[in-house]
Amino acid sequence: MKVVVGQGSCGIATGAKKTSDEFQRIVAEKNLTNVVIDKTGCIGTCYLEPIVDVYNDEGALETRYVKCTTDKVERIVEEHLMGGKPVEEYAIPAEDEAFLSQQQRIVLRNCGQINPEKIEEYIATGGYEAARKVITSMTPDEVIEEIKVSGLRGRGGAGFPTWFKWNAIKSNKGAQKYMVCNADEGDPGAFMDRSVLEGDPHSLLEGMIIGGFAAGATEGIIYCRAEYPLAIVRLEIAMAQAREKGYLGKNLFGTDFNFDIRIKAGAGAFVCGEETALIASLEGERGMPRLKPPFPAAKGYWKLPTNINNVETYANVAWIIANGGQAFADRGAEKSKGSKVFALAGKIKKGGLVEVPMGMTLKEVIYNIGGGIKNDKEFKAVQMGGPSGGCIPAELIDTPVTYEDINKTGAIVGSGGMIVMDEDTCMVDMARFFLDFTKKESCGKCNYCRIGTKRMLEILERITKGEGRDGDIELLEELAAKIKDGAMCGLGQTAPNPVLTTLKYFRNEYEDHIYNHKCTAKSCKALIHYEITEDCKGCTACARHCPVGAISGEKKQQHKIDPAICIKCGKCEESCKFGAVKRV
Amino acid sequence: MNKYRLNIDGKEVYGLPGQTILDVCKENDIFIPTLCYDERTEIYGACGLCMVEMEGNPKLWKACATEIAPNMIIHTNTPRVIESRKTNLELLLSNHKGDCRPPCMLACPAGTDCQGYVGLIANGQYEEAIKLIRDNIPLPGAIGRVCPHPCETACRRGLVDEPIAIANLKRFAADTDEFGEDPFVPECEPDTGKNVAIIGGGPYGISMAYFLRQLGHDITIYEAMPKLGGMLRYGIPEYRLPKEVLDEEIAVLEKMGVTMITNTKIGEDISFETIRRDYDAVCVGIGAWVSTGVRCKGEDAEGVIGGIDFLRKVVRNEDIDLGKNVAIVGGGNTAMDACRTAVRLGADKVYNIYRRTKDEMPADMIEIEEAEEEGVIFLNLTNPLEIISDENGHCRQMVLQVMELGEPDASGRRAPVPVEGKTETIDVDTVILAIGQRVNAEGMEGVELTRKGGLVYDKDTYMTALPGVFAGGDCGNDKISIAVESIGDAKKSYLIVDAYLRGEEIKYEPNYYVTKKDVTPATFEDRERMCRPTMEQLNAEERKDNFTEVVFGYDEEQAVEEAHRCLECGCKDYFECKLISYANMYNVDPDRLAGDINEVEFHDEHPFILRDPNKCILCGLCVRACDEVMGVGALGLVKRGFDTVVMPALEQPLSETGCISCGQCVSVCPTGALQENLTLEKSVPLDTDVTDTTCAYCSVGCSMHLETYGDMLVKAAPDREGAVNKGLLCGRGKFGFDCSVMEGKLLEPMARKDGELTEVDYHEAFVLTTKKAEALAAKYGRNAVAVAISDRYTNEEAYVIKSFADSIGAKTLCFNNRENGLEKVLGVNATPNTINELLSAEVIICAGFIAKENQIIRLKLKQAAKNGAKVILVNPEGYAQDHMGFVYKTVETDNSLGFFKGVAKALADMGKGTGVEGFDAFKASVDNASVSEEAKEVAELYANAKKAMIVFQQNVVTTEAAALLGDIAVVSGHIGKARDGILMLKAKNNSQGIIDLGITAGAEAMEGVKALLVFGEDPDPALLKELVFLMVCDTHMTEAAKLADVVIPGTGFASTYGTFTNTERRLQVVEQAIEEDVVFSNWEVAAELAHVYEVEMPFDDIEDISDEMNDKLPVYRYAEMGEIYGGVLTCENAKLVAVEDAAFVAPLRSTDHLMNMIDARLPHAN
Repeated sequence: MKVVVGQGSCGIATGAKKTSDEFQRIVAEKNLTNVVIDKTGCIGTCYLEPIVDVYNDEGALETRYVKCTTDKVERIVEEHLMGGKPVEEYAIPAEDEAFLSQQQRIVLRNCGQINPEKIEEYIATGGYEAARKVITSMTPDEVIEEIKVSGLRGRGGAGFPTWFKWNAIKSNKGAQKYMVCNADEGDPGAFMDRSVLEGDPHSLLEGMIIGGFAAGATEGIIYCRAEYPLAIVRLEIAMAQAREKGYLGKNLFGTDFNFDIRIKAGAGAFVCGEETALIASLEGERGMPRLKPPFPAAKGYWKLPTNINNVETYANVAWIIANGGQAFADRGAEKSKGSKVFALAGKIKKGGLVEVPMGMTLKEVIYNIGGGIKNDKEFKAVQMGGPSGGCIPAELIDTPVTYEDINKTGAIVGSGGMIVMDEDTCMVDMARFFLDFTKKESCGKCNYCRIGTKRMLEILERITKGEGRDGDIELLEELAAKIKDGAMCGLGQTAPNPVLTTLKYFRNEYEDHIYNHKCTAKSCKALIHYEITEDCKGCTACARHCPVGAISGEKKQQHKIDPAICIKCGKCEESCKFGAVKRV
Repeated sequence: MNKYRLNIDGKEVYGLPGQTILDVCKENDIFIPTLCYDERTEIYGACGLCMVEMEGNPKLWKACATEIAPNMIIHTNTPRVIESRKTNLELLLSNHKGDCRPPCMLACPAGTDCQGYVGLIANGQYEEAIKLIRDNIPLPGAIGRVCPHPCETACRRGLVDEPIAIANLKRFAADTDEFGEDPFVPECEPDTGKNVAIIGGGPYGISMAYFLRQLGHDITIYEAMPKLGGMLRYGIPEYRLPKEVLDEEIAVLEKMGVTMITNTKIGEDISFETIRRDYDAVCVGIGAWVSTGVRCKGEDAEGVIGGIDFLRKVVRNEDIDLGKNVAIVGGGNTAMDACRTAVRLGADKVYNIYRRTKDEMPADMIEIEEAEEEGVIFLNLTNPLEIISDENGHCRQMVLQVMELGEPDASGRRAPVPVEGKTETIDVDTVILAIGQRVNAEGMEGVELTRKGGLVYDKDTYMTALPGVFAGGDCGNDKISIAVESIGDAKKSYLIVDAYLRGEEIKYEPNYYVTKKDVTPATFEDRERMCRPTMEQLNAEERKDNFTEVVFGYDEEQAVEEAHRCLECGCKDYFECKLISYANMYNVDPDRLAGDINEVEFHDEHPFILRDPNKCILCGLCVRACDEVMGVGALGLVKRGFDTVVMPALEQPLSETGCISCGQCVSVCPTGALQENLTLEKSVPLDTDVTDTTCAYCSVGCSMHLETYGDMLVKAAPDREGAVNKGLLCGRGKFGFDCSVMEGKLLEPMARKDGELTEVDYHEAFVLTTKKAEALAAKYGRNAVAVAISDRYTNEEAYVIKSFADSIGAKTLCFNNRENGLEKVLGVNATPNTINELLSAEVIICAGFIAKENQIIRLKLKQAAKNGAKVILVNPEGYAQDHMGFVYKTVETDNSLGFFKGVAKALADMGKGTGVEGFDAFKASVDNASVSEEAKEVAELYANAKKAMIVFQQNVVTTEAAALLGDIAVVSGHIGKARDGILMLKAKNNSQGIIDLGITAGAEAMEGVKALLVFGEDPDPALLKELVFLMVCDTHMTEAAKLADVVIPGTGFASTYGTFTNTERRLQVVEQAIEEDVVFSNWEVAAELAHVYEVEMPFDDIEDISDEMNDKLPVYRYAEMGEIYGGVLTCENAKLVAVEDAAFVAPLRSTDHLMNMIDARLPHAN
């Protein structure tokens, strides 16, 4: 039997390593020689970690245990591994199975299935066969044609056709060409690349090898953020194994094609996900964008033709070659083919990674897969595409998730972050949050981004503090338009998107803040206060929970909040069982 | 190459493929603002100001980065583009902290550059100071005396101790000029044919006349009173403003050609109608000459008179019987003037009636204090209730209501309220009401009046409702104020009048300036407290019975001392700041985007470069220029986003990075974030004049702009068009340009008396020199007299000095001449190849190269390397060089010729050079050399290159080494062709020039010399030991001068004009930028000496010298200015010579003490 403990960063964070150790300890203690303890990457159901899969001797999955903390291990060993009877109450509930069953996984095909540190397991799934096929039996043009047929578009944000980029660098002259992987995943709330890097690194390597062959590059560089230490470790293991097998290095698959890959750890600047800044950083310069044109395909790394794709894009490539471009194109929507990984986060019941065919509606993703809104509150909006994206309001929930349809709303597919917001989310504050992020992550090079985002943030800050002025909305709109026009790179040009989309769909909330000194969602502290209504039973719970002693009242009498002392932390509201504390 | 045709702003233009929109716009004089662009660095694109629109494309495009395509249609000035630029600038300015202009200037209604003239006074530039004042103030002497100086109120020195005495300094400058020999009169432009009538000769009218006349308009002032001056003459007593001062200032107006018609009142003597008909424009400044009353009972009595009426009568010497007791009502300066005048007229008791306390009086405190000293009785907190008259209707008593201060009103001032029932009565014979004034606009038919009777004019255009009739000063818009305000009205509106005369309409638009808002006393905590010097003045007893001017004004010493207290608030780069100039071009309003400012604490002690990160706009030019242009990389960007800041490498003090003090960062900085640390006594922002000249240090010959103000050298900047340097300069050129006028400069001749050098007059110095030299020549022969001529002197200077030497039979030499080893091989005493040939060589051997001696050559080598050249640096140990990371190979040798003999042998072994004259002897001389691996490698690289050059410095490598390098070039055949030969760098800016003049001998010529006359050299004192007589002419007391018997002041390159010949034989222009404070220029000293010998030098000026040189020196006859004469020398007579063993390098100490001086001042990293 095989016990596989999911050990992506998310699993480890919830204690998967301890769970794995516990299995080791008990299995050793009980001397169960027929049981193998192994690990795998993240399967995507983050809210269920740690996850432990038990396979029978035929290699079939017998039971998937979820939230498998160390205290559950002994029982599983005794009852299931020794007794042959799965512990049903620890197993994944049927409704959570649905989270997985509604997905179509290409990028995540091996995540949570194989041990990422064992190349054999990857090979066993057919790994490196696509690379072999390409290098030994195809021409670069044929490869590019296959990718063109697939309709694969860049999964990093802009959705540019992958074949076009490859073809461009193939056609450009240069003494040396580079295949670069952008693994600087920086959008708050997005972690699909990490999942691939940690859970299936070989699929990335294989994608890069195929791309390198197609584009005529002999060197690959993975620019991986240093905040992903586990990813770097697993990539290094994978690269060493691939080299050993002759899949990387010189004379791949016995041909005269040479291709090797190295890792460059990025130093944690969000803007380095922008391709020209990434190149500057690769060259050892300060991570600041450069003007385009020239585009990297013509003059990139050391001014030589350079192709940059992100992890998810590369991770599709081997599958496309193995299954044919048409198989990929058969999935998804007309102009947005294939499947896409989304990171569901925010006020959603089941947060995690999901891979679905493009064209599925937001509603399906949020409700059918994500299980709907936490605490069954009202769905208000979803922020798509991270800080560069925008928010899509409830009335557009039937929007299909395609590049074109999402763009129409003012948001972008981006790298696939979906942050779900409920009725309690203040949209002005939400815009402020994202702008605060981009402002902090501005590299400081161009004026519009460096100072413009700062000024926009200052305006949003004063609005959420109730100090908004007449004219602020117009000023925000003016600055947003000019920053979009004038900023140098994607970071700056898209920074105003959260503000613009919230202004588009929730302008009333801005006006409420400024003119009525009211936060519509009752979320901005400066604009709300708490009151105890007649429903108060005098249970004293609120007074006991109040950290500043702002609540007074006799037992069984209606309590009262002293607004001069109250810090609006909301503990009273949380602690009241009778719904007698109201935000006003 | 095919050209692309495109249309920019409706204009059909052409460009080459690969050019950017910005390139094409520049070529076609289409303005595009940029803050981060420099053609020498990679496109950066940060500032975003160069945005343009392209037809058929929704985006805005950066002109600096967008390559042109055929048939592009571009618009550079659309509303969207302008809005984008404006907001962009507003964003920058919202995060820009500094003071564009000083608070004193901003507070002056006339916008006088107070900081500027205060600074000029501190620097002893009084003439320039008055010129600067007179840019705004045509009555500086008068205003300096009477102005209530809002400038001083604003002066931040007041936060430390006392404000700068700005008004007194103005008076000092004015008096120095006006009572000097040749008072300044501004130049007037040619007549425009337009005439303007000015009605009223007060401060407004005079100013209007002064400004408009300078523009060439014909001006007539109509004045109702007998003399011009207005209230300054008729409302201010003589003891405060002597009328003589006013007369001098009005005389300037007369010299400018302004017609003044006095005793003529418009409406009475001539109709307003006629004036309007006869003139193209009319400016009305009739003032406010009617005293207002207090509206108390009995104020129409005899003996009650208006304050200004009283003062006017006194000025006009009209009969006034004041009686014994005089009461003056009012608390302003007019009231004080009336009080003090009444004292002077002999009244027994002079009362001042004012309803508040002294603290609330609007008069200057000094006036109040002085009035009190003179015996004026202040009845504060009283108000006239009734004036009681005698039977003749003459006032005899005044009943005063006693007041007290009530609660503060809205403006914070405590309003006086009557104390119910409490009165006082005083005896009065005269009551003077100095409460206020109003306008009498009689005669100005058709001009609309305000409710109070003032003239109405548009506040933006200063034009009344009558076309072509303008108004200003006290008479208009109920704005009765101080004199400088009236001058300000004229200053603000004269260009509007001028535009009107040209048929245009413009408005007054105040400039936008960045100002610091958080200055407090704490800001200046580190300043030493120092009050202003007190002015001499008459004491109360001396002054109270006469009208003699009370205050004497500053003497020179006091004025300079006082001016030094200035805190230098305004930005020194204001006049060259691109940011502020664009800001005003695009009418910015940054306040709407006000927010946090990224304030940076910083500390730096670079002797030449001042940093102020708070003015930085992060254009990155400094960082990029330092790295990409200079190859140094001493600056970098630190932190991210809004917090980004430029810092010296590793956040060290700049002088401790690899900074070479070239100042390129300062030159490219578009704002004041990087500034030169000026050596002026007092650094002030000045709108400098620019002179294009040539640097006088090393032999590269960099073209530069010398910025001057009057006779002050302010700064230097590299010339981007410079034939050799193309915008580059090293620290010597950038910061050493003013060494000749720096502290310790010799101003008077000296002669040794009783062993001490003592100041003598020129005659004595010249006679002493010639007598001594003659006596020694008689005793030891002509050869015992020598003249040393510096190779920093111009060709013309050196020529005259040599002519003088020749005329007395003395030999000439230059201690800085080292025998040229190359000459033996090549037969020419010059470098055969030229500097820019380096850029296209394939292999360059750089032998014995000290980069700091010729930084620009290092940069040429860098550029060559970038172009693909393999640069091989061969230096002896101990001579490692900074910032030469571009070299292909560095070879470190011992300090002998071993390595190059090895190279020579390797070349000979390859079969090179056989058949060249002298080959056998040469081969024999290197046969014993050992050929190291490196030598072999270098020899092969060199021999196999198609185009190879050798670079060395004449005064660094030994004569033998130079000969060997010559041999190596000749033996390998790399000689006598373009981009294939030798670049020998001579020591000094004109080392080649003096060789061409025949001054070829060096220190060796001192053999047997007893009398030496040195011009501009500071040789090793050991060489001077045997002398019986030594004369030194130089700018400072050099080591040689200290030994001299006679010392004569010399001058530097900034005060002469002529030519230098740089190392590559390029004849370069030297232009005069300043006059130095000495009697004779360098060549005149020689001419004067000759004169004593009764040899007359036939030159009046440099032109004459130049003409004679053309006649007598064939080499210069056809040399063209700025060009290299002779081109690449073919060296047809080259032969190989055998070279003895010798040292490789032996740097010769420079004899130019100015260069030694700047080298000592530059941080060691250079």
